[in-house]
Amino acid sequence: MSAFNRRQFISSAAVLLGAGALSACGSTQHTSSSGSTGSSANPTVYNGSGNLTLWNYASQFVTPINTAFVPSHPQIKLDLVNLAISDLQDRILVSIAAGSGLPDSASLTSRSSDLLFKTGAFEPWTKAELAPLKKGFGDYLVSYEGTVYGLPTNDGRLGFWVNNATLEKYNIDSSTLTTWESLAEAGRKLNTDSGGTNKLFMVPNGSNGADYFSALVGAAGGNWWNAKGEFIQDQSIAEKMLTFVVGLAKDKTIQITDWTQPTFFTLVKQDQLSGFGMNFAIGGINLPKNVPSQSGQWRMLDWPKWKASDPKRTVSYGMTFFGILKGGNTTAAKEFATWCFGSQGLPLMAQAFGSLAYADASKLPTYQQKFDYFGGQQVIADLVAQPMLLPNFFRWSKTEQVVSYAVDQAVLQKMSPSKAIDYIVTNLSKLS
Amino acid sequence: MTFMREREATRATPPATAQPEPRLARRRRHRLYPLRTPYLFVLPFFVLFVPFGAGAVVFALVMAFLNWPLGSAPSFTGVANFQVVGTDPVFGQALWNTAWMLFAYLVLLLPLALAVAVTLNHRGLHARRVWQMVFFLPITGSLVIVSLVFELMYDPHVGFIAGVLHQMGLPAIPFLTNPSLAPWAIIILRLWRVIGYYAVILFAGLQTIPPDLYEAVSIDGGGALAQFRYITMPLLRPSLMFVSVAATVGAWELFAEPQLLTGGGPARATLTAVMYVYQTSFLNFQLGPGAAAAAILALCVIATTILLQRALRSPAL
Repeated sequence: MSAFNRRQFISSAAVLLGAGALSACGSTQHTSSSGSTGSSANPTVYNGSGNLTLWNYASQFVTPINTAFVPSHPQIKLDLVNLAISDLQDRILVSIAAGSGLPDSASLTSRSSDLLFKTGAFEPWTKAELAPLKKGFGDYLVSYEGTVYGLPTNDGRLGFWVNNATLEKYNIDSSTLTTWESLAEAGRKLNTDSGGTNKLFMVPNGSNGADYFSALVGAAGGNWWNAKGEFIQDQSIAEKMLTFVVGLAKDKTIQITDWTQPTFFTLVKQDQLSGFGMNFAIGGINLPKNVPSQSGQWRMLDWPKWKASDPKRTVSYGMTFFGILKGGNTTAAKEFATWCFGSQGLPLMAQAFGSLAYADASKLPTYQQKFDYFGGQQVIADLVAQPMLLPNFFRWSKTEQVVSYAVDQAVLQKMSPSKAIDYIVTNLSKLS
Repeated sequence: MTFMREREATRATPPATAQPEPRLARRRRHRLYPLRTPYLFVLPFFVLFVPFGAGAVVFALVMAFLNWPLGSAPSFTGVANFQVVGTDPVFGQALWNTAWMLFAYLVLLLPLALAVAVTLNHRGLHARRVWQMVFFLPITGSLVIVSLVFELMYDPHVGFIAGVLHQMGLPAIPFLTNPSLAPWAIIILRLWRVIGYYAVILFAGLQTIPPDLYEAVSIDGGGALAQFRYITMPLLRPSLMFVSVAATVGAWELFAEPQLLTGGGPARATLTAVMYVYQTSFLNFQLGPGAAAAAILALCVIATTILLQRALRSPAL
């Protein structure tokens, strides 16, 4: 090679290296649709084909997708990407901001739905497409400003899970624990009789604490935001609930922990936590998986009431749904979404998630299943027998930040419950 | 005539000791070769640094002056983002938390790292390389794994520290759920992880100090303290400056440990400036205010670094 060509080679190599680095660091090409757009005259039949990229955080649904959806849809090449929920949201956000690299569909939580839908990056469902499904979903369709963007899978319905064997050991009859006061009384007895080691309540701190407290308020009929996204000034229900929680903290009947802590199930195993309120994913799936030694001991109670005469009801902690992104293979994505609620997908979803947001799921044999871990209780059937209230999730990240600060201060007794609620009202009403 | 013949003979025959001049390649003979070639060697770094390093910084600075709702086109908004962030008490608390944790961290780090370095440099220390490795190991561990291990250790129910306290008949300490203790728990984690790293840097600095200077002090009747004050500290100043600046920049960027251990709580006691930037940008979807907060943080880092350098260069020290 001549000297001149050598010099050119080095310069060209440097340029190529830079171009290669720039293109490699760019986001991946958004897959193009090779099927119909989905908003056709026959919306319930999707002839989806081609590549379908699905970002998923609901790990319990991976196996059904791979073993059932993939073989029955050979024309769709599924690229299933499993991510932690926070990573998934970050990546979606960056991709929306960059305008590229978006998947065709992603599993998301209803808590961040308003911020995501406001970006205009999501494909809406038409009324014609929803017509066969609307009755099954009722009010649970995930929408924004009157337009539906998501079909929810699990409903995040809360139950109160107790170690019945431990309660019986301390002469506490779990069938009498129907109100908050009766649970608080049982918690005090358990705490005293166990020498201060065993607790009946979990209260998380941080953002999980905000979500948990908001769920407690929601189950009592309260909400931070109304259906239009306006802040509700009257927060007497929230103040009542916070006063109750602070009372539990003063009685030392709570464990400040949550299900995401590595020591959560260790506390359960060591009989330091014998009760908590949470959804089926935690109580019905993770608890048996992580504490198999206590099989047969646990029960799920109905969500507590304030007064015995109150109607039975619970609240959603937050639903999972599959959102479809614009500009991708929307046909295949909608085919996947509707498969989830068809004759093949629905039973698998019920196995994976437990209580679903789709009413027809209640006819499934899975719902009548008796769980040995819970002493033969039909946990899912009992869970869905409670009518569910749906919180209005608006500006949820900011709501979490404000509520977590106030609740933490109140639980640590650095702020009275009424001052804590005043803080929430002052800071959240500014956002309306 | 003889002289002329001798001169001709000398001219015809080169001196026996002279080496023949090498023939340089054409490109190396080019007059621009020594000017251009070094740049070609550093070009690969700049090809990546310009867009992803400097470019990202400039882009973030531009973003701080924009109103950019996700999914919409950005628009110029002047200093509005800075006003929003500047008047947000949460950002104020995050900056304050970061600043006082930085101060406490430096006050503990420098003496401890120096003590470890001096110990490593001690002539009587056996198995010096083993000790160096032991102290350096924590920095090689994954920050996430180390944080999770510390979280387990700090747990007041099943943690190692709680177990030891229980054996001693003492109550457990809620390290991560007490707003007064949680910041210190994070500082201790950081110190454990980085002391060895900075100690090795200071140790390298100590190794460059000529031993005869210490000998001179001892001949003049000076003890260990005098040696440390008049020889070690002045000559170690460049290394100390590097350690101080590096530790300061790292402390301003505190994010992973509080994010993993406490999420910024309890009650925002461990919320740091970078956490605020992350929450504002990626959780609240407010890219402009997030970038503005990042710009303010960058100014704080630069200002602190300049002050530190001036303080360490001061003759009084």
